[in-house]
Amino acid sequence: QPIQMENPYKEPPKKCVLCGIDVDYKNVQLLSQFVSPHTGCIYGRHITGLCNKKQKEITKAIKRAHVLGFMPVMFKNPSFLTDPKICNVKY
Amino acid sequence: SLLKPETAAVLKRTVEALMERGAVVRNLENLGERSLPYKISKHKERHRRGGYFLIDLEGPPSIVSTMMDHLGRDIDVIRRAFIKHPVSKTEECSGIIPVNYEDKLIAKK
Repeated sequence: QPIQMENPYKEPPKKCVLCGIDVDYKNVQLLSQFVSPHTGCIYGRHITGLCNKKQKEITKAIKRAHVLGFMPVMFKNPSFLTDPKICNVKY
Repeated sequence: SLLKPETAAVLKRTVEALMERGAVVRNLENLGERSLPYKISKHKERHRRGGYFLIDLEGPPSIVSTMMDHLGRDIDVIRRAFIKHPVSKTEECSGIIPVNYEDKLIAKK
């Protein structure tokens, strides 16, 4: 008789890139990684691949950084242009 | 054009004003002086460089409007803001739960 049990070969749930990292409006480098270098627009969920919560937090933090004068609005800070790519953007 | 004694005077003024209204200042951090991401025009001047300061404080919420007024009249303050303390909750972050699209579609009908 087969024993009923949970799937033992279950993989742990996939984690998004920021799945343990505190998002703060002050670390402009992290926020700039989710912003387009040409226009400065924030990438959508299908590009960044973040979970619901983190995408909302990032958008809120970016908007806050814009208002408070931490991050430029229309472009990406040139010193952060050589950062490693997180989002799957196709230029 | 921000000299050290002048910035010290500005900070002293703001902290004293805060303490007057009954707020407890916990910490004062200097986030450095850097060139602003965009030119800000305030108090009949176009600013390019600025010093960033973060004041940790606890106090009654009635201070907020009076302090924003007070800081708005200060010529040396370019931009002011009050932000709530971030409550960090990242330990509960379970990964991306796969959404069952079939159920969603049937439920909406």
